Amino acid sequence: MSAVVALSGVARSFEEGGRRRDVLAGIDLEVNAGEMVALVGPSGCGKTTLLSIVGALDAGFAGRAELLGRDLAKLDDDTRSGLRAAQLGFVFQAFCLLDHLTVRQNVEVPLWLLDDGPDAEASARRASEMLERVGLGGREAESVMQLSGGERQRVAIARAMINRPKLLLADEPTGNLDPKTGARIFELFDAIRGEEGCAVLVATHDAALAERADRVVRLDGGRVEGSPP
Amino acid sequence: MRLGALIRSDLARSKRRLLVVVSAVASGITVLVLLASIALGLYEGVVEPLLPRLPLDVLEVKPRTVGVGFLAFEGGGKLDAAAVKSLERIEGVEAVHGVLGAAFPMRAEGGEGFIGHRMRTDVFATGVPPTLVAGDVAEGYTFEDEAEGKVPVLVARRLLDLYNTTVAPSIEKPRLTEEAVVGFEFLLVLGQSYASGTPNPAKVERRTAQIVGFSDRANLVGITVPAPTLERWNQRIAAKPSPVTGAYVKTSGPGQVGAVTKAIERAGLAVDDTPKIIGAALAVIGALGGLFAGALLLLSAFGIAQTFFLLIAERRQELAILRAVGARRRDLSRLVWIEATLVGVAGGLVGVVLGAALALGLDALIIATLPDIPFKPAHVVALSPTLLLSAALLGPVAAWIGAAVPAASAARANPASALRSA
Repeated sequence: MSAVVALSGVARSFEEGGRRRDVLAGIDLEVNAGEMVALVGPSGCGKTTLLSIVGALDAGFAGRAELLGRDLAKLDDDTRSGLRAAQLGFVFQAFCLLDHLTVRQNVEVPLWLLDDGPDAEASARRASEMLERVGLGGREAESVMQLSGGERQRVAIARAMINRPKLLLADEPTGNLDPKTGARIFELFDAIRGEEGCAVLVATHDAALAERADRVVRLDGGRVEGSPP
Repeated sequence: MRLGALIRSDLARSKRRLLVVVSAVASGITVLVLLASIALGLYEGVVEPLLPRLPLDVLEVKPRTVGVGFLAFEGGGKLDAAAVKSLERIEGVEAVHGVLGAAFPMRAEGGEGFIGHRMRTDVFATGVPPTLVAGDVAEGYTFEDEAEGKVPVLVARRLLDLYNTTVAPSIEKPRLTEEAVVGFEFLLVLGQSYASGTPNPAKVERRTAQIVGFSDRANLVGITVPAPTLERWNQRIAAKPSPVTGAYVKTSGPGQVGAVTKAIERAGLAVDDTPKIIGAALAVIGALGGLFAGALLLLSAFGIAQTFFLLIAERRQELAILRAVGARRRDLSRLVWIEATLVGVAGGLVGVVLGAALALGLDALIIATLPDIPFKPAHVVALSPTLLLSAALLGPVAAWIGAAVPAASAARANPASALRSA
């Protein structure tokens, strides 16, 4: 099985009030194609920071981080953006939808950002297909402001999947949802992973949901639990 | 890359704020178009017809006059044929065209066709080189010295205007156009006038004269004939050399004008610099207009910058989301540039349309209320395509100046902050 993500000795620190704070202190991690990995750990343990590095959003790390075989430290900003647009899907705790756009337009946004993206008609058709798959068929023209939290998160998932990414990154995707809706969202991840064959790396506080993943990686004190100090 | 839907929705949700910016840009450009069209209109409609400009490299030379009380006397150097020759020797002078006067009395008769009865009047004549006024001769006519046949005559354009605005109304006759007057013939009696009588009855000649055109360089209170014609008449009727009343000096280029002017003044003659003073005044007005346009541009740019800074601050999270899902820095800059350009173009177009409408309305109002005075202009505003295009372009230019920093700021949106927005 090929590694979609391969981290080796990845460390990240931030300057806060003139003091250095080590958030990640040597992470080794692999995520393979089609695998769902849950990142768990207490608040501040570095889950979001790790997702930022894997998602090519943060280049200020030490160590080696490979995404789809490419060394992230060696990529320039434009290439990282291109990688995010074409190969990655993001699902955020706060949904992060664009409130002034309709449901379908929100899903289409990643396609608009591609240099060689589909035309308007194909783009709209693909967005409708994705909305159908997340159970929001027929809601394309609605404003995202009118949707419930669970529906908004499903729009975010449709947006994350519209480019058929190799890796889906989700940061506390059920954090703002009730347990029942959260469970449905996890089911959706599982179904999409099965259909699309993409890897899923999901950070969550919810131990019960994490147990649904193929593998659970516990972070504590900036390290993977059980790894040598 | 298809940013159209994002731009449309951004413009739609910020339309109130953007409308304020569009209005600010538009009102500035409206004022600019209005002022510039009035300045241009006054120049084209009033200054230029009243004070015909010479080419930049041509100087008009006159005898220097000295004012004593209410009288003016010639002083300094004498302007005669020898002086004209000496002007030709000044370094930087390419050619000198002397303007000749008549050394004998002269009168004219005619005008039945226009005013219903034969009019008789003394006339003054000047002679100019045909090359100097070649462009003023009507099509189908010539302005050359002919020993026999009709004498070609040029009339001052301002004289026709004076006739139309003062004489024609007082004698209840219709106004005349240049086209109607060209070709008009009258009798010219050389060597005789009502004021001076007939100095030598043996030297009186009767010639038929024909108006062949109107010129801004023609004698205002008389007729203008080819210089060789007047020279011949002066010799034959007055047996005197032709008096020189002025000269046009063509320099070898505009760069020589200053040095040639100084040399002419050292020779005791005067250079009529009124057109150049008017030109300088207009240049100052133009510079002030330019300063106004510059200030306007900066103010508009400031308004645009301020608005887009606010919009970007409000949209910081959205920009981070766009970056997170794959937008490059330049895509976000482009969003700001395009939106600002649309605002600038809209402001420019609205400003130009409003400015042009106000200018035309003002023109109609002023022309309708202005009494029939000599040299009444047909228009007091002028809306040239160059003016309208330049004014319209000021809108986007202001937008680009204003958008530069906000666009750079938008591009700095941190994609990682999207993950930390919970």
